[in-house]
Amino acid sequence: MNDREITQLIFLPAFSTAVAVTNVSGRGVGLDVVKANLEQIGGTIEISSDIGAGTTFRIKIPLTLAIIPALTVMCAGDRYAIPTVNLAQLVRLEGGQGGRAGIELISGTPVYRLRGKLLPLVDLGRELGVSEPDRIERDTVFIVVLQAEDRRFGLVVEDILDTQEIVVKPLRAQLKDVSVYAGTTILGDGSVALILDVLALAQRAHVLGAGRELGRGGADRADDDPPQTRDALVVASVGQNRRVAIPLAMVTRLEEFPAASIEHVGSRELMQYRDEILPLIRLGPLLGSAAMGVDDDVVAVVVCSMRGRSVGLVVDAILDIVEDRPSRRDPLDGVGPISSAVVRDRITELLDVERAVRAADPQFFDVSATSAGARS
Amino acid sequence: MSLAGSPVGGPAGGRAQLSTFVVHGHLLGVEVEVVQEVTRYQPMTRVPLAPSALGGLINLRGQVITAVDVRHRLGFPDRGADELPMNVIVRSNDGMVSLLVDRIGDVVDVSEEAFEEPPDTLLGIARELIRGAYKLDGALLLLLDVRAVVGLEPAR
Repeated sequence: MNDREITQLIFLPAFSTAVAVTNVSGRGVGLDVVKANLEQIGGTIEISSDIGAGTTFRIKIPLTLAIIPALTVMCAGDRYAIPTVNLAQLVRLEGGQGGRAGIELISGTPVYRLRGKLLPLVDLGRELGVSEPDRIERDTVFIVVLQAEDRRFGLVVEDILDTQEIVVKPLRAQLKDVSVYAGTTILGDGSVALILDVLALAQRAHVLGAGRELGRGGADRADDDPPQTRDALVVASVGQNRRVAIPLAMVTRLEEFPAASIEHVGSRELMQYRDEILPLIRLGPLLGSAAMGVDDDVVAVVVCSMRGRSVGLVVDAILDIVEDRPSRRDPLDGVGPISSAVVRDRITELLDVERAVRAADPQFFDVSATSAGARS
Repeated sequence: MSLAGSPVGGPAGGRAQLSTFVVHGHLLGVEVEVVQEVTRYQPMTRVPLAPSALGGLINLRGQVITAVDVRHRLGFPDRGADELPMNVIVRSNDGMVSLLVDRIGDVVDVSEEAFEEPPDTLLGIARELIRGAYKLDGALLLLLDVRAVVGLEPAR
Protein backbone atom coordinates (compact mmCIF):
# COMPACT_ATOMS: atom_id res chain seq x y z
CA MET A 1 0.00 0.00 0.00
CA ASN A 2 1.57 3.29 -1.05
CA ASP A 3 1.22 6.62 0.73
CA ARG A 4 -1.59 7.77 -1.47
CA GLU A 5 -3.62 4.69 -0.75
CA ILE A 6 -2.97 5.09 2.94
CA THR A 7 -4.23 8.66 2.99
CA GLN A 8 -7.42 7.45 1.31
CA LEU A 9 -8.10 5.26 4.35
CA ILE A 10 -9.48 8.18 6.31
CA PHE A 11 -12.40 8.32 3.91
CA LEU A 12 -13.52 4.85 4.93
CA PRO A 13 -16.63 4.64 7.06
CA ALA A 14 -16.01 3.76 10.69
CA PHE A 15 -12.31 4.58 10.36
CA SER A 16 -11.22 6.10 13.65
CA THR A 17 -7.96 6.92 15.36
CA ALA A 18 -9.70 7.58 18.64
CA VAL A 19 -8.51 5.52 21.57
CA ALA A 20 -11.89 5.54 23.29
CA VAL A 21 -15.36 5.68 21.80
CA THR A 22 -18.04 7.71 23.57
CA ASN A 23 -21.71 8.13 22.86
CA VAL A 24 -21.23 10.83 20.32
CA SER A 25 -17.59 10.94 19.36
CA GLY A 26 -14.84 8.70 18.10
CA ARG A 27 -17.21 6.62 16.05
CA GLY A 28 -15.39 7.27 12.83
CA VAL A 29 -18.13 9.21 11.13
CA GLY A 30 -16.41 12.10 9.54
CA LEU A 31 -14.56 12.26 6.30
CA ASP A 32 -16.58 9.43 4.77
CA VAL A 33 -19.64 11.65 5.13
CA VAL A 34 -17.74 14.57 3.61
CA LYS A 35 -16.70 12.45 0.68
CA ALA A 36 -20.15 10.93 0.18
CA ASN A 37 -21.85 14.32 0.26
CA LEU A 38 -19.34 15.84 -2.13
CA GLU A 39 -19.78 13.01 -4.57
CA GLN A 40 -23.52 13.32 -4.26
CA ILE A 41 -23.37 16.85 -5.68
CA GLY A 42 -20.70 15.97 -8.21
CA GLY A 43 -17.73 17.36 -6.33
CA THR A 44 -14.40 15.84 -5.36
CA ILE A 45 -12.02 15.90 -2.43
CA GLU A 46 -8.29 15.29 -2.65
CA ILE A 47 -5.65 15.04 0.04
CA SER A 48 -1.94 15.56 -0.16
CA SER A 49 0.01 15.13 3.02
CA ASP A 50 3.65 15.37 4.08
CA ILE A 51 4.49 14.02 7.49
CA GLY A 52 5.63 16.88 9.68
CA ALA A 53 4.94 19.49 7.02
CA GLY A 54 1.17 19.60 6.75
CA THR A 55 -1.87 18.38 4.89
CA THR A 56 -3.77 20.00 2.06
CA PHE A 57 -7.41 19.19 1.36
CA ARG A 58 -8.66 20.24 -2.06
CA ILE A 59 -12.43 20.37 -2.36
CA LYS A 60 -14.06 21.02 -5.70
CA ILE A 61 -17.77 21.86 -5.74
CA PRO A 62 -19.73 22.44 -8.94
CA LEU A 63 -21.72 25.64 -9.31
CA THR A 64 -24.82 23.89 -10.56
CA LEU A 65 -26.95 24.12 -7.44
CA ALA A 66 -30.30 25.78 -7.75
CA ILE A 67 -29.80 29.31 -6.45
CA ILE A 68 -32.68 31.77 -6.37
CA PRO A 69 -33.06 35.26 -4.96
CA ALA A 70 -35.42 35.31 -2.03
CA LEU A 71 -36.81 37.66 0.57
CA THR A 72 -36.53 36.50 4.15
CA VAL A 73 -39.33 37.46 6.50
CA MET A 74 -40.03 36.85 10.16
CA CYS A 75 -43.14 35.17 11.46
CA ALA A 76 -43.74 34.02 15.05
CA GLY A 77 -40.01 33.86 15.69
CA ASP A 78 -39.18 31.83 12.60
CA ARG A 79 -37.68 32.94 9.35
CA TYR A 80 -39.22 32.09 6.01
CA ALA A 81 -37.94 32.67 2.51
CA ILE A 82 -40.18 33.99 -0.27
CA PRO A 83 -38.90 33.71 -3.86
CA THR A 84 -38.61 37.24 -5.20
CA VAL A 85 -40.09 36.10 -8.50
CA ASN A 86 -43.45 36.27 -6.73
CA LEU A 87 -42.72 39.61 -5.10
CA ALA A 88 -44.55 42.70 -6.30
CA GLN A 89 -43.80 45.25 -3.61
CA LEU A 90 -43.36 45.80 0.10
CA VAL A 91 -45.62 48.00 2.21
CA ARG A 92 -44.96 49.21 5.72
CA LEU A 93 -47.86 50.74 7.64
CA GLU A 94 -47.06 52.73 10.74
CA GLY A 95 -48.87 54.22 13.71
CA GLY A 96 -52.26 55.84 13.39
CA GLN A 97 -54.81 53.86 15.39
CA GLY A 98 -52.54 50.98 16.02
CA GLY A 99 -51.19 50.69 12.53
CA ARG A 100 -54.61 50.08 11.14
CA ALA A 101 -54.55 53.09 8.91
CA GLY A 102 -55.40 51.74 5.52
CA ILE A 103 -56.43 48.30 6.70
CA GLU A 104 -60.16 47.86 6.53
CA LEU A 105 -62.40 44.92 7.17
CA ILE A 106 -64.98 43.39 4.89
CA SER A 107 -67.04 41.22 7.18
CA GLY A 108 -63.95 40.43 9.21
CA THR A 109 -61.66 39.88 6.25
CA PRO A 110 -58.85 42.42 6.18
CA VAL A 111 -58.12 44.33 3.00
CA TYR A 112 -55.79 47.19 2.21
CA ARG A 113 -56.25 49.89 -0.37
CA LEU A 114 -53.16 49.65 -2.51
CA ARG A 115 -53.16 52.40 -5.12
CA GLY A 116 -56.90 52.55 -5.03
CA LYS A 117 -57.46 48.82 -5.40
CA LEU A 118 -58.47 46.46 -2.66
CA LEU A 119 -55.69 44.07 -1.76
CA PRO A 120 -56.78 41.03 0.25
CA LEU A 121 -54.55 40.49 3.25
CA VAL A 122 -53.39 37.09 4.46
CA ASP A 123 -51.74 36.75 7.85
CA LEU A 124 -48.84 34.35 7.49
CA GLY A 125 -48.82 33.39 11.16
CA ARG A 126 -52.50 32.58 11.13
CA GLU A 127 -52.28 30.64 7.87
CA LEU A 128 -49.50 28.53 9.31
CA GLY A 129 -51.29 28.21 12.62
CA VAL A 130 -48.37 29.54 14.63
CA SER A 131 -49.68 32.84 15.98
CA GLU A 132 -52.77 34.56 17.24
CA PRO A 133 -54.81 36.32 14.59
CA ASP A 134 -54.34 39.74 16.18
CA ARG A 135 -51.28 40.55 14.13
CA ILE A 136 -53.16 43.22 12.28
CA GLU A 137 -53.69 45.11 15.54
CA ARG A 138 -49.98 45.80 15.77
CA ASP A 139 -48.48 49.26 15.58
CA THR A 140 -46.42 48.54 12.53
CA VAL A 141 -47.68 46.23 9.85
CA PHE A 142 -45.46 44.78 7.16
CA ILE A 143 -47.21 43.69 4.01
CA VAL A 144 -45.43 41.66 1.36
CA VAL A 145 -47.42 42.14 -1.82
CA LEU A 146 -47.26 38.91 -3.78
CA GLN A 147 -48.35 37.86 -7.21
CA ALA A 148 -50.03 34.48 -7.44
CA GLU A 149 -51.03 33.76 -11.00
CA ASP A 150 -53.11 36.79 -11.93
CA ARG A 151 -54.02 37.74 -8.37
CA ARG A 152 -52.25 39.96 -5.96
CA PHE A 153 -52.50 39.57 -2.24
CA GLY A 154 -50.74 41.00 0.76
CA LEU A 155 -48.96 38.68 3.14
CA VAL A 156 -48.81 40.20 6.61
CA VAL A 157 -45.56 39.28 8.36
CA GLU A 158 -43.90 40.28 11.59
CA ASP A 159 -40.81 41.73 10.02
CA ILE A 160 -39.08 41.96 6.70
CA LEU A 161 -35.43 41.06 6.94
CA ASP A 162 -33.53 41.13 3.68
CA THR A 163 -33.13 39.64 0.27
CA GLN A 164 -30.43 37.13 -0.44
CA GLU A 165 -29.48 34.40 -2.83
CA ILE A 166 -30.43 31.07 -1.37
CA VAL A 167 -29.67 27.49 -2.33
CA VAL A 168 -32.88 25.53 -2.72
CA LYS A 169 -32.92 22.15 -1.07
CA PRO A 170 -35.83 19.86 -1.86
CA LEU A 171 -38.39 18.82 0.66
CA ARG A 172 -38.28 15.40 2.20
CA ALA A 173 -41.06 12.99 1.37
CA GLN A 174 -42.53 13.35 4.84
CA LEU A 175 -43.30 16.99 4.03
CA LYS A 176 -44.55 16.57 0.49
CA ASP A 177 -48.14 16.67 1.69
CA VAL A 178 -47.64 20.10 3.22
CA SER A 179 -48.01 22.03 0.03
CA VAL A 180 -47.28 25.54 1.28
CA TYR A 181 -43.53 24.95 1.19
CA ALA A 182 -41.50 24.92 -1.98
CA GLY A 183 -38.37 23.66 -0.31
CA THR A 184 -35.88 24.48 2.35
CA THR A 185 -32.69 26.42 2.50
CA ILE A 186 -29.87 27.02 4.91
CA LEU A 187 -29.38 30.63 5.91
CA GLY A 188 -26.07 32.33 6.52
CA ASP A 189 -26.05 31.51 10.23
CA GLY A 190 -26.56 27.82 9.53
CA SER A 191 -30.20 27.65 10.51
CA VAL A 192 -32.77 26.02 8.28
CA ALA A 193 -35.52 28.14 6.76
CA LEU A 194 -38.59 27.02 4.85
CA ILE A 195 -39.25 28.46 1.40
CA LEU A 196 -42.89 29.42 0.96
CA ASP A 197 -44.78 28.29 -2.11
CA VAL A 198 -46.69 31.48 -2.83
CA LEU A 199 -49.23 29.86 -5.15
CA ALA A 200 -50.06 27.12 -2.65
CA LEU A 201 -50.24 29.65 0.14
CA ALA A 202 -52.65 31.75 -1.89
CA GLN A 203 -54.80 28.72 -2.50
CA ARG A 204 -54.77 27.76 1.13
CA ALA A 205 -55.85 31.29 2.04
CA HIS A 206 -58.56 31.14 -0.66
CA VAL A 207 -57.02 34.06 -2.48
CA LEU A 208 -57.31 32.10 -5.69
CA GLY A 209 -60.84 30.97 -5.03
CA ALA A 210 -62.10 27.71 -3.64
CA GLY A 211 -61.64 24.47 -5.48
CA ARG A 212 -59.55 25.98 -8.17
CA GLU A 213 -56.83 23.78 -9.50
CA LEU A 214 -53.28 24.79 -10.16
CA GLY A 215 -52.49 25.99 -13.62
CA ARG A 216 -56.07 26.40 -14.75
CA GLY A 217 -56.97 29.56 -16.57
CA GLY A 218 -60.17 30.12 -14.69
CA ALA A 219 -62.02 31.57 -17.65
CA ASP A 220 -65.33 31.17 -15.83
CA ARG A 221 -64.35 34.05 -13.61
CA ALA A 222 -63.47 36.43 -16.38
CA ASP A 223 -66.54 38.56 -15.78
CA ASP A 224 -65.83 39.47 -12.21
CA ASP A 225 -62.12 39.75 -12.72
CA PRO A 226 -61.23 41.96 -15.68
CA PRO A 227 -57.44 41.79 -15.38
CA GLN A 228 -57.59 38.06 -15.96
CA THR A 229 -55.44 37.84 -19.04
CA ARG A 230 -53.13 40.68 -19.81
CA ASP A 231 -51.78 41.11 -23.28
CA ALA A 232 -48.68 43.08 -23.90
CA LEU A 233 -49.36 45.53 -26.68
CA VAL A 234 -47.26 48.00 -28.60
CA VAL A 235 -49.29 51.15 -29.03
CA ALA A 236 -48.45 53.38 -31.98
CA SER A 237 -50.05 56.44 -33.47
CA VAL A 238 -51.23 56.43 -37.05
CA GLY A 239 -52.79 59.30 -38.92
CA GLN A 240 -54.98 61.80 -37.17
CA ASN A 241 -54.99 60.85 -33.55
CA ARG A 242 -55.57 57.17 -34.21
CA ARG A 243 -54.04 54.65 -31.93
CA VAL A 244 -53.16 51.19 -33.17
CA ALA A 245 -52.15 48.35 -30.87
CA ILE A 246 -49.95 45.51 -32.11
CA PRO A 247 -49.53 42.36 -30.03
CA LEU A 248 -46.04 42.42 -28.56
CA ALA A 249 -45.74 38.71 -29.22
CA MET A 250 -45.56 39.45 -32.95
CA VAL A 251 -43.02 42.23 -32.61
CA THR A 252 -39.33 41.51 -32.91
CA ARG A 253 -37.94 45.05 -32.75
CA LEU A 254 -38.91 48.67 -32.62
CA GLU A 255 -36.69 50.72 -34.93
CA GLU A 256 -36.23 54.20 -36.26
CA PHE A 257 -34.68 54.51 -39.68
CA PRO A 258 -33.63 57.52 -41.72
CA ALA A 259 -36.25 58.02 -44.38
CA ALA A 260 -33.49 58.02 -46.99
CA SER A 261 -32.74 54.37 -46.34
CA ILE A 262 -36.09 53.33 -47.81
CA GLU A 263 -35.65 51.96 -51.32
CA HIS A 264 -38.30 51.39 -53.91
CA VAL A 265 -38.93 48.36 -56.09
CA GLY A 266 -41.94 48.90 -58.25
CA SER A 267 -44.67 50.18 -55.99
CA ARG A 268 -43.24 48.49 -52.97
CA GLU A 269 -41.05 50.04 -50.34
CA LEU A 270 -38.15 47.96 -49.04
CA MET A 271 -35.13 48.49 -46.93
CA GLN A 272 -31.96 46.65 -46.14
CA TYR A 273 -32.13 45.45 -42.61
CA ARG A 274 -29.73 43.05 -40.96
CA ASP A 275 -28.51 41.57 -44.24
CA GLU A 276 -32.05 40.95 -45.38
CA ILE A 277 -34.60 42.83 -47.37
CA LEU A 278 -37.37 44.08 -45.17
CA PRO A 279 -40.63 44.89 -46.92
CA LEU A 280 -42.30 47.97 -45.46
CA ILE A 281 -46.00 48.60 -45.08
CA ARG A 282 -47.24 52.06 -44.23
CA LEU A 283 -50.02 51.45 -41.74
CA GLY A 284 -51.61 54.87 -42.14
CA PRO A 285 -52.56 54.60 -45.81
CA LEU A 286 -53.42 50.91 -45.36
CA LEU A 287 -55.92 51.73 -42.65
CA GLY A 288 -57.43 54.61 -44.61
CA SER A 289 -55.77 57.50 -42.86
CA ALA A 290 -54.10 60.26 -44.71
CA ALA A 291 -50.42 59.54 -45.06
CA MET A 292 -48.75 61.59 -42.44
CA GLY A 293 -45.12 61.95 -41.69
CA VAL A 294 -44.02 60.90 -45.14
CA ASP A 295 -41.72 63.85 -45.31
CA ASP A 296 -40.11 63.15 -41.95
CA ASP A 297 -36.43 62.49 -41.89
CA VAL A 298 -36.91 59.53 -39.63
CA VAL A 299 -39.53 56.80 -39.85
CA ALA A 300 -40.68 54.69 -36.93
CA VAL A 301 -40.94 51.04 -37.82
CA VAL A 302 -42.41 48.16 -35.88
CA VAL A 303 -40.64 45.05 -37.13
CA CYS A 304 -42.97 42.07 -36.92
CA SER A 305 -42.23 38.52 -37.81
CA MET A 306 -44.52 35.65 -38.61
CA ARG A 307 -44.02 32.35 -40.38
CA GLY A 308 -40.32 33.07 -40.59
CA ARG A 309 -40.85 36.31 -42.51
CA SER A 310 -40.27 39.81 -41.27
CA VAL A 311 -42.20 42.87 -42.22
CA GLY A 312 -41.80 46.48 -41.15
CA LEU A 313 -44.93 48.38 -40.24
CA VAL A 314 -44.34 52.10 -40.67
CA VAL A 315 -46.18 54.16 -38.08
CA ASP A 316 -46.12 57.82 -37.19
CA ALA A 317 -44.79 57.29 -33.71
CA ILE A 318 -44.39 54.49 -31.22
CA LEU A 319 -46.22 55.64 -28.12
CA ASP A 320 -46.03 53.01 -25.45
CA ILE A 321 -45.90 49.38 -24.51
CA VAL A 322 -48.83 48.51 -22.26
CA GLU A 323 -49.93 45.43 -20.50
CA ASP A 324 -53.64 45.41 -20.48
CA ARG A 325 -56.60 43.26 -21.03
CA PRO A 326 -58.42 44.85 -23.94
CA SER A 327 -61.98 45.18 -22.75
CA ARG A 328 -65.27 46.12 -24.38
CA ARG A 329 -64.51 44.96 -27.85
CA ASP A 330 -66.67 46.35 -30.57
CA PRO A 331 -69.15 43.60 -31.51
CA LEU A 332 -69.08 44.60 -35.18
CA ASP A 333 -65.44 43.71 -35.47
CA GLY A 334 -63.85 40.80 -37.16
CA VAL A 335 -64.17 41.87 -40.77
CA GLY A 336 -61.01 43.78 -41.55
CA PRO A 337 -57.53 43.77 -40.12
CA ILE A 338 -58.73 46.07 -37.35
CA SER A 339 -60.90 45.58 -34.32
CA SER A 340 -61.41 48.19 -31.69
CA ALA A 341 -61.12 47.90 -27.96
CA VAL A 342 -60.54 50.05 -24.97
CA VAL A 343 -56.91 49.97 -23.96
CA ARG A 344 -55.86 52.16 -21.08
CA ASP A 345 -59.10 54.15 -21.22
CA ARG A 346 -58.79 54.99 -24.89
CA ILE A 347 -60.37 53.39 -27.86
CA THR A 348 -57.55 51.71 -29.67
CA GLU A 349 -57.49 49.75 -32.87
CA LEU A 350 -56.14 46.26 -32.45
CA LEU A 351 -54.19 45.24 -35.51
CA ASP A 352 -54.35 41.72 -36.86
CA VAL A 353 -50.87 41.79 -38.34
CA GLU A 354 -51.34 38.85 -40.66
CA ARG A 355 -54.52 40.24 -42.16
CA ALA A 356 -52.93 43.65 -42.50
CA VAL A 357 -49.99 42.20 -44.39
CA ARG A 358 -52.28 40.25 -46.68
CA ALA A 359 -54.27 43.37 -47.38
CA ALA A 360 -51.10 45.20 -48.37
CA ASP A 361 -49.44 42.38 -50.27
CA PRO A 362 -51.63 39.36 -51.04
CA GLN A 363 -48.64 37.36 -52.23
CA PHE A 364 -46.58 38.00 -49.15
CA PHE A 365 -47.02 34.59 -47.61
CA ASP A 366 -46.82 32.75 -50.90
CA VAL A 367 -43.13 33.33 -51.07
CA SER A 368 -41.34 30.85 -48.91
CA ALA A 369 -39.16 32.14 -46.16
CA THR A 370 -36.01 30.65 -47.65
CA SER A 371 -36.22 32.57 -50.88
CA ALA A 372 -37.32 35.77 -49.24
CA GLY A 373 -33.84 37.25 -49.25
CA ALA A 374 -33.60 36.91 -53.02
CA ARG A 375 -36.98 38.36 -53.78
CA SER A 376 -35.83 41.45 -55.59
CA MET B 1 -28.95 -1.49 3.02
CA SER B 2 -31.97 -3.12 4.52
CA LEU B 3 -34.16 -1.12 6.77
CA ALA B 4 -36.43 -3.62 8.30
CA GLY B 5 -34.33 -6.75 8.50
CA SER B 6 -36.83 -9.56 8.36
CA PRO B 7 -40.32 -8.12 8.23
CA VAL B 8 -41.67 -9.90 11.29
CA GLY B 9 -39.75 -10.84 14.38
CA GLY B 10 -36.11 -10.28 15.10
CA PRO B 11 -33.06 -10.77 12.96
CA ALA B 12 -32.75 -14.18 11.38
CA GLY B 13 -29.19 -14.86 12.43
CA GLY B 14 -28.21 -15.84 15.90
CA ARG B 15 -26.87 -12.52 17.08
CA ALA B 16 -27.39 -8.89 16.18
CA GLN B 17 -26.20 -5.50 17.26
CA LEU B 18 -28.67 -2.84 18.23
CA SER B 19 -27.99 0.84 18.71
CA THR B 20 -30.00 1.73 21.79
CA PHE B 21 -31.52 4.87 23.22
CA VAL B 22 -33.93 5.86 25.93
CA VAL B 23 -37.29 7.51 25.33
CA HIS B 24 -39.59 8.24 28.26
CA GLY B 25 -37.89 5.58 30.37
CA HIS B 26 -38.16 2.91 27.70
CA LEU B 27 -35.07 1.28 26.28
CA LEU B 28 -35.43 1.21 22.52
CA GLY B 29 -33.15 -0.01 19.79
CA VAL B 30 -32.64 -0.06 16.04
CA GLU B 31 -30.28 -2.20 13.99
CA VAL B 32 -26.88 -0.65 14.13
CA GLU B 33 -26.53 -0.96 10.34
CA VAL B 34 -29.16 1.70 9.65
CA VAL B 35 -27.64 4.21 12.05
CA GLN B 36 -25.40 6.72 10.37
CA GLU B 37 -24.41 8.62 13.49
CA VAL B 38 -25.63 10.08 16.71
CA THR B 39 -25.36 13.75 17.58
CA ARG B 40 -26.11 16.06 20.44
CA TYR B 41 -29.03 18.43 20.32
CA GLN B 42 -29.15 20.43 17.10
CA PRO B 43 -31.14 23.64 16.66
CA MET B 44 -34.34 22.81 14.86
CA THR B 45 -36.62 24.76 12.56
CA ARG B 46 -40.23 23.91 13.20
CA VAL B 47 -42.50 23.17 10.27
CA PRO B 48 -46.00 24.58 10.73
CA LEU B 49 -48.84 22.44 9.33
CA ALA B 50 -46.64 19.33 9.30
CA PRO B 51 -47.62 16.16 11.17
CA SER B 52 -47.15 16.71 14.88
CA ALA B 53 -44.58 13.95 15.25
CA LEU B 54 -42.30 15.88 12.94
CA GLY B 55 -40.01 17.66 15.34
CA GLY B 56 -38.46 19.98 12.81
CA LEU B 57 -35.66 20.39 10.32
CA ILE B 58 -32.01 20.10 11.21
CA ASN B 59 -28.97 21.36 9.38
CA LEU B 60 -26.64 18.38 9.43
CA ARG B 61 -23.43 19.61 7.84
CA GLY B 62 -25.28 21.48 5.16
CA GLN B 63 -27.91 18.86 4.53
CA VAL B 64 -31.46 19.55 5.61
CA ILE B 65 -32.90 16.50 7.32
CA THR B 66 -36.20 15.95 9.03
CA ALA B 67 -36.33 15.03 12.69
CA VAL B 68 -39.03 12.67 13.95
CA ASP B 69 -39.87 12.88 17.62
CA VAL B 70 -40.00 9.29 18.86
CA ARG B 71 -41.90 10.40 21.95
CA HIS B 72 -44.62 11.80 19.76
CA ARG B 73 -44.64 8.76 17.53
CA LEU B 74 -45.15 6.37 20.41
CA GLY B 75 -47.72 8.57 22.09
CA PHE B 76 -45.58 9.44 25.10
CA PRO B 77 -45.93 12.85 26.79
CA ASP B 78 -43.81 15.72 25.49
CA ARG B 79 -40.35 16.27 26.80
CA GLY B 80 -39.93 19.09 29.32
CA ALA B 81 -38.92 22.46 27.94
CA ASP B 82 -35.46 22.22 29.50
CA GLU B 83 -34.79 18.71 28.20
CA LEU B 84 -33.08 18.78 24.84
CA PRO B 85 -33.41 15.72 22.63
CA MET B 86 -30.46 13.96 21.05
CA ASN B 87 -30.41 12.79 17.47
CA VAL B 88 -30.05 9.27 16.18
CA ILE B 89 -29.51 9.78 12.46
CA VAL B 90 -30.76 6.79 10.49
CA ARG B 91 -30.58 6.08 6.81
CA SER B 92 -33.96 5.49 5.23
CA ASN B 93 -35.22 5.10 1.71
CA ASP B 94 -35.91 8.82 1.75
CA GLY B 95 -32.42 9.85 2.76
CA MET B 96 -31.37 10.54 6.28
CA VAL B 97 -33.86 11.06 9.08
CA SER B 98 -33.14 12.00 12.65
CA LEU B 99 -34.90 10.24 15.51
CA LEU B 100 -35.27 12.58 18.46
CA VAL B 101 -34.61 10.62 21.64
CA ASP B 102 -34.01 11.48 25.29
CA ARG B 103 -30.68 9.77 25.78
CA ILE B 104 -28.27 7.69 23.75
CA GLY B 105 -27.45 4.21 25.03
CA ASP B 106 -24.82 1.66 24.11
CA VAL B 107 -24.54 -0.62 21.16
CA VAL B 108 -25.90 -3.88 22.56
CA ASP B 109 -25.26 -7.41 21.36
CA VAL B 110 -28.49 -9.37 21.44
CA SER B 111 -29.25 -12.97 20.66
CA GLU B 112 -32.16 -14.40 18.80
CA GLU B 113 -33.21 -16.55 21.76
CA ALA B 114 -33.94 -13.45 23.82
CA PHE B 115 -36.34 -12.04 21.21
CA GLU B 116 -40.08 -12.20 21.54
CA GLU B 117 -42.79 -10.63 19.44
CA PRO B 118 -45.02 -8.09 21.13
CA PRO B 119 -47.95 -9.57 23.03
CA ASP B 120 -51.40 -9.26 21.52
CA THR B 121 -52.37 -6.97 24.33
CA LEU B 122 -50.06 -4.31 22.93
CA LEU B 123 -52.39 -2.08 20.99
CA GLY B 124 -52.43 1.22 19.22
CA ILE B 125 -49.64 2.92 17.39
CA ALA B 126 -47.00 1.16 19.45
CA ARG B 127 -48.03 -2.17 17.93
CA GLU B 128 -47.14 -0.87 14.47
CA LEU B 129 -43.86 0.67 15.50
CA ILE B 130 -42.46 -1.97 17.85
CA ARG B 131 -41.42 -5.20 16.24
CA GLY B 132 -40.66 -6.99 19.45
CA ALA B 133 -38.65 -7.08 22.63
CA TYR B 134 -35.29 -8.50 23.59
CA LYS B 135 -35.31 -9.74 27.16
CA LEU B 136 -32.13 -8.34 28.67
CA ASP B 137 -31.06 -8.68 32.25
CA GLY B 138 -33.21 -6.26 34.14
CA ALA B 139 -34.76 -4.54 31.14
CA LEU B 140 -36.67 -5.06 27.95
CA LEU B 141 -35.05 -3.70 24.80
CA LEU B 142 -37.77 -2.81 22.32
CA LEU B 143 -36.88 -3.15 18.65
CA LEU B 144 -38.26 -0.22 16.65
CA ASP B 145 -39.44 -0.57 13.07
CA VAL B 146 -37.44 2.32 11.61
CA ARG B 147 -39.39 2.47 8.39
CA ALA B 148 -42.70 2.75 10.21
CA VAL B 149 -41.33 5.35 12.61
CA VAL B 150 -39.96 7.66 9.93
CA GLY B 151 -42.93 7.09 7.61
CA LEU B 152 -45.10 9.34 9.80
CA GLU B 153 -48.16 7.29 8.97
CA PRO B 154 -50.93 8.34 11.32
CA ALA B 155 -52.21 5.92 13.91
CA ARG B 156 -54.98 3.70 12.66
